[in-house]
Amino acid sequence: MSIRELALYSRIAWRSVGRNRRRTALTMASVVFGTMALVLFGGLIDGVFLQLREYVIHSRLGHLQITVPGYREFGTLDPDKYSIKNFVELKSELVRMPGVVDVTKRFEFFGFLSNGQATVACAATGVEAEIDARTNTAIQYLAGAPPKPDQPAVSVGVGLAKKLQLKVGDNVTLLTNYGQNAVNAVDVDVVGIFESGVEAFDALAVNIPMESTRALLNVPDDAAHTVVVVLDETWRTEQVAADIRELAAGKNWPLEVQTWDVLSPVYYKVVRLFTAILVFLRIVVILVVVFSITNTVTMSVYERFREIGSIRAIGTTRRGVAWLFVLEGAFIGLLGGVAGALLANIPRLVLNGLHLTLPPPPVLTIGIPLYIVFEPAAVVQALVVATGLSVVASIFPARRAGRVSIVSALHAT
Amino acid sequence: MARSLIAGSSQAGLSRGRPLAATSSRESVGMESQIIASLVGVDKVYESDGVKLKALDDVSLTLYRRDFAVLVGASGSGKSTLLNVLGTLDRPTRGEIRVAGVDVTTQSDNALSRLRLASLGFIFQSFNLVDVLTVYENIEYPLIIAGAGPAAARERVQWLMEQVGLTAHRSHRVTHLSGGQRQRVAIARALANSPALVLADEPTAALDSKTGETILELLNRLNESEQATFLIASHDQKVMSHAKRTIKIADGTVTESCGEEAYVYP
Repeated sequence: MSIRELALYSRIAWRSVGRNRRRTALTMASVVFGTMALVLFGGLIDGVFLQLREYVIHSRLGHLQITVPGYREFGTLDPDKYSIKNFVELKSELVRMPGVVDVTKRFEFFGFLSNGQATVACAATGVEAEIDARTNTAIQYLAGAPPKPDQPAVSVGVGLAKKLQLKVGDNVTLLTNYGQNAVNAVDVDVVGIFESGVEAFDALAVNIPMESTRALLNVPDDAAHTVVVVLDETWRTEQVAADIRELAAGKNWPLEVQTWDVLSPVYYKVVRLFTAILVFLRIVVILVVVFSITNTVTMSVYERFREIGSIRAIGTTRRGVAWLFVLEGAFIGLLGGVAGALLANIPRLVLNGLHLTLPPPPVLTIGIPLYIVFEPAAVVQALVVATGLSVVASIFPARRAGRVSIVSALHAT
Repeated sequence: MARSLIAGSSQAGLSRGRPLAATSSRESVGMESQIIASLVGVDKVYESDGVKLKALDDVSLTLYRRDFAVLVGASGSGKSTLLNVLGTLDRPTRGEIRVAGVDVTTQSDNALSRLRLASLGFIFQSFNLVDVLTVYENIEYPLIIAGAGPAAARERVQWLMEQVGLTAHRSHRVTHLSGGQRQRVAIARALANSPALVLADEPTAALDSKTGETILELLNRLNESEQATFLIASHDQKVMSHAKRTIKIADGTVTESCGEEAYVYP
């Protein structure tokens, strides 16, 4: 088919879009709403992923965590063996890397927390309190505040606080038989009660400043279980992880680097769930658009039987006739897609401006702020999908148009 | 200066509006080379709900270059069916049909489309134009799909518009024209690719008598200037008065063909 022939069919198809304006408007409306739904749902899901990602990074994980290989599997049995021994030197290297904002160390151990009347198991984390408070911005303190570095104090998860009926100012005893050491204990004040959003974690969590941790565990200054690295931008994660691996290999340091997405099962559970929902919604939208376009193009074929007969009579091939209707469907899809992509910005801006909060996703107890992302690539994708769907939906009636008996078509009323 | 049939005909193939189809065969001599289309023993049977209806019964007919033949018959006599099978819009049940030297009964759908585009022109009672196109675009349509170059197509369309007196309406949508004007657009469209044979099915039936007369005069002139063969199905006596040849059909059978002997070609 020559370009001139294609241009001719395009001209006819374009003008035919306006023949039955009411029907075209109805079909276009379904494409517009379909495209809006695709753009908005996509933007909403992207917004959830974005916020959840930053939430998991800034609640506990950081962008990267560095450990000795085997620490996560065997560290509880022999924490000394699986500890980093050169934290100070490691940190001095890490802070020089582009994009690294904060580097902090942690000790993770199990113990018991007693309020004098009851004792429950807990999962304690020894933290550099000042840096921890600065980087874990997603942790919500329901009462009090994070402990200060030199304070003999702890903050506890909301679930644990409920179990022991703790409130800020209460005195508790933290007991552990860390590693091969004898059982040791510290008396500390509860200065804060926090909620991380992960119920299982909040039911066990205790944060204790590094000074008290060292006293409790009898660990050296230069040691750490995990080193947490916080970056200025999340997109740098993989690059910085590669840089750290290269550094460790160069220095012959046996270190393992894990990124936030590997460390967070919550994130991927939510991503899988929401992605499945998005796929389902997309299928529904696609079906609505496809049926709508198919219906319109089919009606257009029926209405233009006589015209089909006459252009076939003057030499247009079946394929040429089919092109006419496929192009008509494509124009409806393209117009509806562009309008839908533009109009989607209205509810997006309105909803973002309302500062609503979505119900908590599974395994979290904290809702995620509703934020619909504007993603140009997603808009282009929606446009391509709308146009592509329209073309696909037009093919069946268009092929039918091409196969119409010329004589019957010429005598159609 | 463009030729004008309204002002008087001149030879085809000169200056602006040169017909796009090859014309060398027109210069050939001999009766065989003057045959544009022929039907031999053609039957057309329609079947509906198990009932068979024979619309054409053993029809044999020859059409010659520059024929201006009128196919006459009562309603339901088989005129339109004959035009349809000759025009390759429908396939015969039996028999042989040749158009421009091609046995159309053995051709594929695409081959028939190409044949219609190059060698056949159609004029319908109800015009059957593309409503969303202008006068110019409707006439240009067959030229574009035949692959004519832009300059040649433009020249041809302009010449045809002059012949049918619609130059002033070139940018008008055809839905804004009168019936007579629309039929003139249809005639120009039918002649766009300089077909060997133009088939017209009741071309004046939807027009008032004065406009119908104008259209018939136009067809007569184009028959001369374009050297195209015209076969016009009609039951209008006025149409017959313009015919060089009359073919009568009744109950699907050609009963009389008058004037065939008058065709003598140099």
